[in-house]
Amino acid sequence: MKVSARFLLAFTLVATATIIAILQGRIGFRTDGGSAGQMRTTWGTPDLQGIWNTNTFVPFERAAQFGTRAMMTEEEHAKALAELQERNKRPGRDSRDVGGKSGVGTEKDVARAYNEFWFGDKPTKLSYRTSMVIDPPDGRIPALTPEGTKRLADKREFLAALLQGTSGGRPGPISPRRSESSPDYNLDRINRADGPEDRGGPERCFGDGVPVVLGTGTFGGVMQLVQSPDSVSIYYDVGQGSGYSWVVPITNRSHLPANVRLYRGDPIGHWDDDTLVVDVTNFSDETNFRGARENLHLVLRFKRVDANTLSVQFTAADPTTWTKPWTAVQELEKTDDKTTLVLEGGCHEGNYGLMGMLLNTRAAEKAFREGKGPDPATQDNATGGGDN
Amino acid sequence: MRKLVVTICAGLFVAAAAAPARAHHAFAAEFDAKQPVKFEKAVVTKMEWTNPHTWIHVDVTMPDGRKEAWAIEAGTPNVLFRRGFTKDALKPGTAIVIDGYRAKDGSHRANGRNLTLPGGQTLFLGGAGTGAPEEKR
Repeated sequence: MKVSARFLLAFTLVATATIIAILQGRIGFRTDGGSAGQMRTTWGTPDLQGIWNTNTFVPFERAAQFGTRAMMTEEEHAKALAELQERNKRPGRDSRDVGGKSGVGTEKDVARAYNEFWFGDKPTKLSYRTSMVIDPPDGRIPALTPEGTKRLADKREFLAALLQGTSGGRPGPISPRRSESSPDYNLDRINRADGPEDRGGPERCFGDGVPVVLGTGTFGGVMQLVQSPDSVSIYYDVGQGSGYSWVVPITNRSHLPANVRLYRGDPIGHWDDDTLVVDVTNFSDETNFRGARENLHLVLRFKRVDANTLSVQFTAADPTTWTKPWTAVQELEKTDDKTTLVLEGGCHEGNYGLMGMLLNTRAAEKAFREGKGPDPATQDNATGGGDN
Repeated sequence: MRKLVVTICAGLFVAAAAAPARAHHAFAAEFDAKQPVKFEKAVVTKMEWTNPHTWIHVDVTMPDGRKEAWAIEAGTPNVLFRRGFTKDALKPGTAIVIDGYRAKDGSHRANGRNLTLPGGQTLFLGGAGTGAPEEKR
């Protein structure tokens, strides 16, 4: 009888401790329909792990007609959704028409590369939210500073100059600026292929800037998050082999010295209750995040809203680019880990395309010198050109 | 009048919403619009599942009976995986029809503008957005 009493007491204590541990979230268990509070790692932090993407479209900036209104009305949503669905029915890259005529044999048909299949499924869902940008209240990125305005205008003018005289640019003779260097560290697709530096970031396997916000649909990419007690890996597989990862230490150390600059910055993480906060500084002048360069400061906040939803909110600040900081939020959806294979983004090894662009431009220049073809400078090799 | 305004606004909203993603690289710098190619029977020898682009290697029988090995540039593997297109989809020995443009340097490389599977199934019928400049306006 005494043994039974001891057993009962021990059982009660263990059961009580287990219930308390579960309530405190220290014992992890995962269910598809579980709440965010139940999603814990075995070491006690919120479990944000998984492969995330979205098929629900939210415009990045708010259309002016919505003013400071964050959500669409039922009527506006129904109308916008119908338009989205209608647009999805339109012929895409399978169509070879250009301005109602056959585009076969034109620059544009070449620029379209391959047909629609390779661009994946289109987004079919439309959020009621009118913008990802939630601050400022008008849902739009704040005005550029005079310095930022000039920097971006200089680049636009340079890009336009290199397109001058082609089907995709303004009319006129080939610009004398064709021999100039880019006014900034080039990551754009410009109409010149003198060397790798003339090609865009994705073409050079430098990734697609700092994605942070994923595109919508199959082509929009995925984000995979993997945790350990002292670090978090956030891997973006976006575009066409343009992925990259942040390995974020969970630490209270300071950022790297100001003279150490990294293409994707120095990320440092900490937990703020159930939110993973990642502070990123020390970007380089080769970084390009919506026009911001080395002075960019990003603060990202990752929070699991429920078992299938991850909120990614970020605040971007750069006093040399924007007149004030701004904040945006995107909600990602959990995908099936088994069917969503995340491929390594490092694509230099298989990037025959970059070599092909340089070699074939040299071949075209040689043919031009021999009177066997047009001057490549008069062709639009950057945007796909006009209707010719 | 109010309804008209709402209609126009919604139209603008969706036009912005559905702006298509751009292609990875400048195919026009690599392939020649004046050298379209079409292979009625290209036999797959291997497929490279590499980022940033997949490459389909094929043997093509020329009109004089000679066989030529060609490499065909196609889209990124990531999208294919997400569409359920596995490594078994284009096995060696599969005869496909390829329609594209030859490299400017005259090598046996081309982009695969359209691919058709045996039995006439076209890779790939699709949805919206060409990325063409006039569609962004």
